[in-house]
Amino acid sequence: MIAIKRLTGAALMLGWGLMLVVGASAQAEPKRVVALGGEITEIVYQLGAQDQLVGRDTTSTYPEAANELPDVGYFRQLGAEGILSLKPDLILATAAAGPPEVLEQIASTGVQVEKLPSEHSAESLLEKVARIAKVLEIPEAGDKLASSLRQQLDEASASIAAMGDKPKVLFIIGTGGGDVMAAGEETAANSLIKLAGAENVFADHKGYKTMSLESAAVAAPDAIALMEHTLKAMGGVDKIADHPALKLTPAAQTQRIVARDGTYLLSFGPRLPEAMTDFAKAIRTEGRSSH
Amino acid sequence: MSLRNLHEAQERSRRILLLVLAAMLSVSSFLALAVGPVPIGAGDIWAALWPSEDLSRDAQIVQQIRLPRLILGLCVGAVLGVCGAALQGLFRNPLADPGIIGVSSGAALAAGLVIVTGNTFASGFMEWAGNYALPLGAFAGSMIAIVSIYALSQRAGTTSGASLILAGIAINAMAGAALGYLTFLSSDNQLRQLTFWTLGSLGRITWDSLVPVAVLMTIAVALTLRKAAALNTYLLGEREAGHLGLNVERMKKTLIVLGALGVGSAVAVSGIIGFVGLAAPHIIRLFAGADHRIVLPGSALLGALLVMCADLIARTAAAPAELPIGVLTSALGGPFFLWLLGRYRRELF
Amino acid sequence: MALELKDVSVVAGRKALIEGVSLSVHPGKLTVILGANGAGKSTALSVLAGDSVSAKGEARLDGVPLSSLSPQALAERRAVVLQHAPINFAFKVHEIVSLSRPALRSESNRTYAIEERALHELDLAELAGRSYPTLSGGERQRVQIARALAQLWHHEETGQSSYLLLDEPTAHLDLKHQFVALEAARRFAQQNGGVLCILHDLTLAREFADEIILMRNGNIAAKGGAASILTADTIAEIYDLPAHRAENLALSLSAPMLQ
Repeated sequence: MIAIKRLTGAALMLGWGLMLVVGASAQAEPKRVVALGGEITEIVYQLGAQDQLVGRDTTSTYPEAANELPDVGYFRQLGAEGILSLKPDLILATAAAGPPEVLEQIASTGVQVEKLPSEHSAESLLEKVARIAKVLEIPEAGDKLASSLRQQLDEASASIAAMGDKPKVLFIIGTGGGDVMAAGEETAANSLIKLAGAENVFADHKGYKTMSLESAAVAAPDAIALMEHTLKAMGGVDKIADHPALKLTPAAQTQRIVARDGTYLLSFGPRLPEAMTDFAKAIRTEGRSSH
Repeated sequence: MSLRNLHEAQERSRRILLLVLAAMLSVSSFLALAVGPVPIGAGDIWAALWPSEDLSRDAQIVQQIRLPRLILGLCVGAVLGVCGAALQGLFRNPLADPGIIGVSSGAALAAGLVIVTGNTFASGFMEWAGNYALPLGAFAGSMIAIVSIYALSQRAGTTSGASLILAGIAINAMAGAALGYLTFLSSDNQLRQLTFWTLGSLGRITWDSLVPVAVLMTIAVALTLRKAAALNTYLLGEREAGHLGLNVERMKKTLIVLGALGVGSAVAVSGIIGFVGLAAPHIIRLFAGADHRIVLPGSALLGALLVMCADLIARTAAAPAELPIGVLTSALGGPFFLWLLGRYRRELF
Repeated sequence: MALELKDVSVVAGRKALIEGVSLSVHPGKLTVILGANGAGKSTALSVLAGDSVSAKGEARLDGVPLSSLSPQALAERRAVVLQHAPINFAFKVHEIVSLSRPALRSESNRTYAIEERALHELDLAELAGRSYPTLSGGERQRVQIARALAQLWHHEETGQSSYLLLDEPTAHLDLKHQFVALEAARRFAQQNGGVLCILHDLTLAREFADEIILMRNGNIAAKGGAASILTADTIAEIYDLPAHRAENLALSLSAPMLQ
């Protein structure tokens, strides 16, 4: 029994040794990559490097195929060993991933941990593309994707600028009891609203804060935006139209209530140009007239 | 009847209990090193126990992740078990648990204050205290909580069970409200850290952050263990203990400081892990009676064992993701508390 | 040599619990305090025990003020049994008795012998292995008396006089064990210990007291031997009883006791 164990141990070590040797000699050898952050997984797919992915976080649900990968948990509450069990040699993590100690632990076992910017902007998207392409050693694919994204972003901005008006938008992030939790300054939703040429009615607050019903009514947003799952939790468009405070807003009266998938709308990944244009249109046109 | 026989039989069964616990703890410690989402061979585990520059990936996982986590689990479990038993003695109430009576939330609130406001309002302290800033803050918080609970629940020299639990509810509610206000003030990142305190986890420990709290927790456990005989006398009653020659006031102060030190450091690194401090002493008393000379060391071993087992489940049940350990212990401990409440109903109300 | 109060007053809020009380407990004697509820008996006992820090006047042990003695030094010389001792934790009877041991003294043949003697003295030999919270009120009371006796016996070898203070030790005891407890107290007194005992049962007081102290409204109303103290007049006064009831009581007390 002990002999067998020793043998297996020796075999394991030998295997590791071989892998290390192989890894050192052939640089083009595919890496084992864990992507932490929905937009990062999307970029890896867009770069055509998805074969190297061995794991993802819970928010990485696009494209569909990503759901097949093992899920290591929500990217803000990671466990070191779960990730290490996938035997990665590269972690691509959004800067918001954590707890930081866990990433430290992973790095201390010799795994490369690449922290990527998490700002909600077009520039940050392009920087992420470039950095990921660089660590995956596929710079050409990176350049190609970046220039295509830049072109799409420019087109999207131009078409949004052409829309002219500046509607007022309330982005609801959740509800607790009767109150609503809204997105203020320095949030992904705020950046999206700006990119869509609109005005955030809650911009005088920082972060995600509870908004009193009265101020929600007084703010008089032209459109209410939220993530699909929030809309579901709130009970659908009709519930919002009936909401004691929200029903007083122009948005509720015209049923201009825009619900989209959260990662699509707010992750600032490669689908950003599409999301920008779609969102910009929806907050201006969606509602009773178009239903 | 012979007291010598009675005593020796008791000693024998206690030694057996401690041996069994120590054996189970050794097994679970080995499992903590050996079992995890990453399968690791015995050779790598052995290699990881010795300092070396040249370790395989698997050995590094053991050395950098599992080993500090194991030590943290042992310390936190022992501290919670011992401090739970000592607080029950101090309040002369078998339902006192650091979590239930609000000592842990006091510590968590103070830790939250350090995180959210420390750099703005007390940057000098933060710089001076370094890795000790969180444990020291948590220590102060749990100290304030214990002293207020003690003052609130004391009635004519004895602690009434119901008023202790009610005082705990009040402290928990106030700490909860203050933590809620902190979340309102905090940035996104600070918010994540705050959530951590309320759920509890052993998963964030690194060697650097382990050392200071491990030292503090070891001190708290070692000094509390020395109070066993005094706690026995104290349980006769405060006046009775004084008549037997015990310096009651000094002992109470010592226990308050040690309890705050232990619970504070545990909460600082692992968040709120509930019910271990309640369950461990009770199970030991069930097997070995109320003598603190067995209850304290037994609770240290059993508390460590409970935390190790809970953490083993937390690490493996949802792999590769992790469950928060505090959620697990509370899920198991809640029903246990209700059962105890039923048992002590008559004495309490 | 005595444990004594000299002109002691204790005030709680605006109410004087005892006022200018002087009394002594002498080695070799069993002193009984009688009095109605609220007369100040327990307060006087707690000052003698060294508890009451707010007391005016002086409490002294063989001439030394109690306040100058450390808790440990005091514990070697006097033991106290209070009225109720609720314990929520499952100690065994022998463990409770072993708490009488001075700190740091561990098990030895001598400590076993002392504690066994105390258990025998209170008829507790059979209960040594029982869990304290499962005992009846009377059994618990006997365990506490045994614990107090053992506490003083652990220091027997010093040869100094020691004092046993009992607050209603017979309150929950059945008839037989009322005698067991008070006979143990009397034997302790006969071995040159001083005993102070608060009682409500006049028959027991007459049977066991070497001296009786009557307390009324925080003062000492009378002191003396049973025969001179337990008269119809004093009983009527102390307990605020109608004359005919006090007379009946005094009469029954003077009748020879049935063995």
